[in-house]
Amino acid sequence: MTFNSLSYFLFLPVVYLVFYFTADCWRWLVLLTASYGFYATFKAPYLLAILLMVTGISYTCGLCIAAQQDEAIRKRWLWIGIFVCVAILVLLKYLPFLESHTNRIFGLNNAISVTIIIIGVSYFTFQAISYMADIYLEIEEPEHHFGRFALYMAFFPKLLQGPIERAGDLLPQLKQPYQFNYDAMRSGMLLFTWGLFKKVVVADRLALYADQVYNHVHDYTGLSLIIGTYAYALQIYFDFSAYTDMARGTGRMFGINLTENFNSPYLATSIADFWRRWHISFSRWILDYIFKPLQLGWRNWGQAGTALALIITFLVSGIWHGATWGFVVWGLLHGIYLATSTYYRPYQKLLHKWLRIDKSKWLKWWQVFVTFNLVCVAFIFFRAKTLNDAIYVVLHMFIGIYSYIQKMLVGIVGLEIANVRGLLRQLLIDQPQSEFITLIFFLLVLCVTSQLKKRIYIYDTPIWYRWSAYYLLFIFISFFGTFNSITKFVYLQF
Amino acid sequence: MNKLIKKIIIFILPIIAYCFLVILIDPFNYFSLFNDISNKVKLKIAYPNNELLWKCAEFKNVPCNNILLGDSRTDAIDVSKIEKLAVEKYYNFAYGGATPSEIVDTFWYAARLAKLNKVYIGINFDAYNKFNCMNRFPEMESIMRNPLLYLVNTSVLRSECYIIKSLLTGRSIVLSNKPTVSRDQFWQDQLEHSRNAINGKYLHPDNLYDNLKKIKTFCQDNKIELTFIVLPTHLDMQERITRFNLTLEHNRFYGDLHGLGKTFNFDYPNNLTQNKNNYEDPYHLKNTDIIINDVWGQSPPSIAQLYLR
Amino acid sequence: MTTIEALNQIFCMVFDDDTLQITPDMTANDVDGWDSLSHVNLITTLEAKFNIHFTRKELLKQRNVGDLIADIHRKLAAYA
Repeated sequence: MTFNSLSYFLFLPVVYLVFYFTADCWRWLVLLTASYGFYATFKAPYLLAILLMVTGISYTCGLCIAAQQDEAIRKRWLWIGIFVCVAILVLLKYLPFLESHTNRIFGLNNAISVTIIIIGVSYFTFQAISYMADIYLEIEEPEHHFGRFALYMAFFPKLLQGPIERAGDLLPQLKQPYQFNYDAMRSGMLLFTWGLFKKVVVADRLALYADQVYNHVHDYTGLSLIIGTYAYALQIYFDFSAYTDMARGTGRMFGINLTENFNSPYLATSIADFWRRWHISFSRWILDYIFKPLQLGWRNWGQAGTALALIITFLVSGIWHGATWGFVVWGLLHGIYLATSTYYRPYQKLLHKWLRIDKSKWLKWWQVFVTFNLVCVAFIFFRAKTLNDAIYVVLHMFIGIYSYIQKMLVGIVGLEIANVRGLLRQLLIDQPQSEFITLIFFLLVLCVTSQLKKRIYIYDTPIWYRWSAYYLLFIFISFFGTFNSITKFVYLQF
Repeated sequence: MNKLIKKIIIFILPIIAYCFLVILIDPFNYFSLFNDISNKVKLKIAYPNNELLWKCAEFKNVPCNNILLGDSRTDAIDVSKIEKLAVEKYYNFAYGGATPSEIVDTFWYAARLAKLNKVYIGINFDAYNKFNCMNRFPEMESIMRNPLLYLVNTSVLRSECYIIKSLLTGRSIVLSNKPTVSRDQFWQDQLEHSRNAINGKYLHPDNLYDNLKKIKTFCQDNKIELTFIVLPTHLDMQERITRFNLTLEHNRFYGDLHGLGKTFNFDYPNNLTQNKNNYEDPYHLKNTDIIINDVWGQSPPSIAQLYLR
Repeated sequence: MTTIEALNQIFCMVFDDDTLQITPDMTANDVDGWDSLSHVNLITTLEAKFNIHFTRKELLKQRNVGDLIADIHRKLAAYA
């Protein structure tokens, strides 16, 4: 059961009603049961066992770390906890990779890993590690109530794809008595619906183009590859931010504020800025628990220490996403982008100041354009099925661009409508024209809405305006949404 | 909480009213619960809006053992004339714009609903292309499985509106797809810019061929007579094969078909395909009687090249 | 010069802002240009200036300038 399934639209109100009518002291149990029930719908009992195991280990290690005064013993408990969590994650995530290699080496024919699903494991494992680390650093006190701790780990809105919540943010909220709040309820429902719109109307439409190109890369060259890449960049953003909106909307209905995971990442003016805006809970996690310890440990190496820490951090990030060379290269690219920027950024700032363009709007948009394209280049390796496919895309994406632009200009100037139409048809990537027009329309809807949100607070508007917006959203989702079983959230696989 | 529940109820009331209206009017006979609107009206309005949905619902309501599959060229074949010759019931499950992937999925849909006896697949080289990969069928299957998706389908909404308009005004609505340009211009545009236009962008559809082999195996196992019909395109279309150096691929297409089943080939230079007056456009014959007589008639085919496996 | 005054001087030098006035609840969000690289510069400069060494844990625990001041005082007291 995922957030965009019809069964979830029944699950959520039922859980809420049971939650609402339950005595406050037992509400944690309702949510915990619902969370495990939600996880059980993936028909993989071992996932529940793993969640329980990671919960038990992190709960126990947290208590043991806090109970000890001796620094060495505290550290030992921390490392035991981290080791077990990481071992579980590595075993599950990289079992197919390990199995294929052992099969090759030993001439075996095992296929256990083919059927294993690992939805959510990456996220709650990281959350467990952050909990233990925060106790070790004495930033947080351990949670003694096992039930509430289990709920902190398993809370269903954030279970499958995050956000990765810090103990200090989520645990206090789970302990607060619940009071029905009309505004929180309606804003939660609206946020959920908005996320649903982004997923089923926009992201899944973009997927048609991205999938068409990246599932058959060798059938395309030039502009088609560029469009497929841009489509994927937009798809993954809308898909993941949609999930986050739905998670946050659901959380809000239960009086819980989950962390915002995105902040207009494609308006970033540098890769560092991008990572402050993209998958924020994850980038904060790798910053706090991988980058900072490495960087501070290597601080005597100066910039080289920082650069190396960045490369290793993003390499780990790439490997976290999956055991393929594509993800490794993606992580490495981001590490290299950031590492090199530590060297050239001070000089770049001086140059902009000297040229008096440091406050210029044009510079800002140029930086946004360059950053977006750097991110897209990395996404090529992220999305392509194999490293060879990714290299093919990189080597062939500019083939024929010049002649295409030339033909288009000639066609426009000479009013050769049929030729222009034929050239425009190439942008469709073998999809119907009506789909393309619908997609452009909804991308415009998103742009207009994001501008309106900055100027208008919807709950200050008249009721007819609000209800028109609600009905419009409902109509868009109902009539233009994709609800077949083929579409899944992109980040569910990590 | 009461305020919220009241508002939710008020919000969903129009939605429930709309759903009831859809079930009542039921443009595509999906539910077939009420028969207040005549089928003629629905056929005129709903069918052109979404042929695929119409046919899926129609076949689900009244399955048939003998079917035709294909795109608009096969769709143009008059099934009543076949039934006169063959003295058997036939269902023309072809629809405009059907890609080979959709044809394959339609076959399996039909096979699930009926004990198939004879299957005729209309397929041409211009469609037999890896780039011709659109597939609307999974969405259609979702609709057939889930009534909620039928209620929120845009074709259903459009048809509802036209039917209501027709009932209120008392005038019949005619949806016309006639082109607004001259015949020559339309002819040229179809040759060069239509979705199936032969223009050099071609790759052998390996996946499709594998899927057709699965159909052949299924038909053999279930004693279903499988026949392919390569419908006649005008010579202007056929010449593009040579112009764009696709002769080898063209021969491979026939090789594939011959390995799959009995094939009637009309698509070569002959009296029929040389004459522009026989055609609406480079793809579509004005009159499909010759096809019907050659394929279903008792006498040997007069124009078609027949290949028997 | 007190510890806080010396610390303020170092902040001004690292972030190239003579008008900077540190407060105990100040964090990286309050200072322009205080990113991970400049934070490392800050720490190495402080360690050199006060002749102290922070452990990794101490550095990871620090949440604001107040925590930094407390750690410096504690270390100076321990070395004294």
